[in-house]
Amino acid sequence: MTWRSSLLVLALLAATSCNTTAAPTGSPVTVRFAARIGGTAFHCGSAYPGVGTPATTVLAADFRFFVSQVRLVDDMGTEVPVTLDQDGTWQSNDLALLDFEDGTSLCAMAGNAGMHVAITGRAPAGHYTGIHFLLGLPFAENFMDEATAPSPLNVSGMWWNWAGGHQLVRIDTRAGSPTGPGFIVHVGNTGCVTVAGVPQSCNHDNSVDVRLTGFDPTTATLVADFARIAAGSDPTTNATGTPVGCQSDIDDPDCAAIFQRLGLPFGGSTAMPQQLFTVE
Amino acid sequence: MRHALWTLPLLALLLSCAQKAAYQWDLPLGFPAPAVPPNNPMSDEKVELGRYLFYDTRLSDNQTQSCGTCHVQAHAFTDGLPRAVGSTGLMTPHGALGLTNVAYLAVYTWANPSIADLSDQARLPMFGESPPELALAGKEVELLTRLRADARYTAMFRAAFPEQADPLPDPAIASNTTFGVENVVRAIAAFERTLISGHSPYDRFIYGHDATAMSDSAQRGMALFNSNRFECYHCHGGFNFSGAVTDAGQMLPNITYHNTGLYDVDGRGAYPVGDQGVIAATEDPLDMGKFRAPTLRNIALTAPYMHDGSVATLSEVLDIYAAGGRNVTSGPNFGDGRANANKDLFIHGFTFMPGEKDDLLAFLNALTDDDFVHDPRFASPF
Repeated sequence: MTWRSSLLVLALLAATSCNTTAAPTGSPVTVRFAARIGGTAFHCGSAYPGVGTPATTVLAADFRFFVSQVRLVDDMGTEVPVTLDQDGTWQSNDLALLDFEDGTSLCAMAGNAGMHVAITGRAPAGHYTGIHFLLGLPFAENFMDEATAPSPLNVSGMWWNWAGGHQLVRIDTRAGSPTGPGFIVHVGNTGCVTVAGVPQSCNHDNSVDVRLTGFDPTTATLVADFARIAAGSDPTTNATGTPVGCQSDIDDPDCAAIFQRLGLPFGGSTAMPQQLFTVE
Repeated sequence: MRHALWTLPLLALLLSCAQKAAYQWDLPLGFPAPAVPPNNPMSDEKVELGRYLFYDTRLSDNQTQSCGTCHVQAHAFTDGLPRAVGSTGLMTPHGALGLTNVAYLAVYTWANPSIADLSDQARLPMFGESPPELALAGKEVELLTRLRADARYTAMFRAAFPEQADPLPDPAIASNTTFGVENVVRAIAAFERTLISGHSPYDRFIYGHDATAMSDSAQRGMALFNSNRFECYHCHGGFNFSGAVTDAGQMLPNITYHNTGLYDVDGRGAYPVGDQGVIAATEDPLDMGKFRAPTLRNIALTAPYMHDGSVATLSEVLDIYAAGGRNVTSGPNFGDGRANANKDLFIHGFTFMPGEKDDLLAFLNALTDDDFVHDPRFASPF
């Protein structure tokens, strides 16, 4: 075999190299989350007293939400996008599924064994004091077909239905006992128009724009506490004829107090600042 | 010639980076690729062998039944009976499950969380004894001897398992029977994985974007199905209208069972003794009365309904969900399932407005795939 033939073959080998992904830029960054109910860490099946009005003990059954378009904010107020690690399961493109349930106990109905409690990615090295993200999904990704979309958009427990896309936030509890009334919060888009099965738009885009200050990713944690958004609700009752808990229906009075605390408009009222997340 | 030989190892290096020739699925629009266990890769030859075995009555001890006896294509691979009847005439506790899209299930049977591989399921009717179905318990040698006597099978096993030296081995050597039976169930599973149904009017409407494919009534029914009033999609959701599905891209499968309030025989949530669902496997009281929610695709073809075939028509099924469960007012299973304390929280009942029940039935009928029940690739070769 001649030298030229060998070089040609080597060139062909290089050109058809299996691994052609570009090297990531920026420094690694981790955004830590914690899920709690009334200040206590969320665990599937555990009981949490003092939730809602009147104060009720609820049992934990699910706690998951999508986060997308994560930006860190520096001392000058400049926003810098975080490029998410593409891990093939929890993070895809610019979105991530945070999952605090492990599929055991009351979480068995809709959950899975895996958990994901922090977002990992890269951002330019710098000193950051704030964070800005979407609690939820942009329209196009929300309505990617669950069957064929990349994980985590194909997680069946977060799929809602053809017209509504995904559940953006899913927090499920049972009031009083494992078989007690369901006190659940499923946040998704409503009033969605589809034409021959193709989603066009939604009257209510229920993703929440979240901005938090005093957040240094090297030291702080974003704490989501269900008790804060449930504070104005009675976990033991459900308005007659309405879906269980709050499943985002605009006609369900059970959603008013919850949506208000989530930072979403509801009924005639405009959005207030969200109360789900604090920085610790 | 020597130059040509030189290029061979280099070509092998090049091709090793390219994808191996993959099995060609015939997937409907919008369907993901099924998950396939690494120990049982798909091939056309294995699928064809599996089809023969599926329909071959030599796979029952008395040679009167095959898998196809209880899994009949015209019924979307169930049999039209409330509960299946085995080859010795004994009735099983449950209705034969249809095989529509069985490749996409994360777990099999009505209520057994440990049956997670399709080839493991095949062993249950083959070797189960309570009651016997194909009645092959202790008859592995007879089974393999019958297959080996058929020269066609010798050739088909070799084509299906080219990596094995002797895929249909002589059962006179004891260790061979395990090996041979494993190949039988793997081939059957490979055939069953091809039973994919996705050409219903619903599919043409949603994935084919054909606005005329479903009637206005069925379209209204679809909206009701997906509504928070009726909540059907909570258990019968996704592209397969079922729970507990997985696929090649599913990293986080969810396996779910539900108590739909069909019984309450003791006033404390019990289902009939001997048929209480997942609790039989887990001994967890919260699993009392829980069964798997099967696919609603082709549901119009698979009457009667529920795990024990105790609901005759789809209309009666809808009445039960509207009532939030079933009140059994006579007989040995007397009791009000609507009050079952372990009932799924989404089975809370609802009120049909005029026309809504017909619309929902129209939608369920729009999930029937005529291609699937007539496809010659899925029919008996005998």
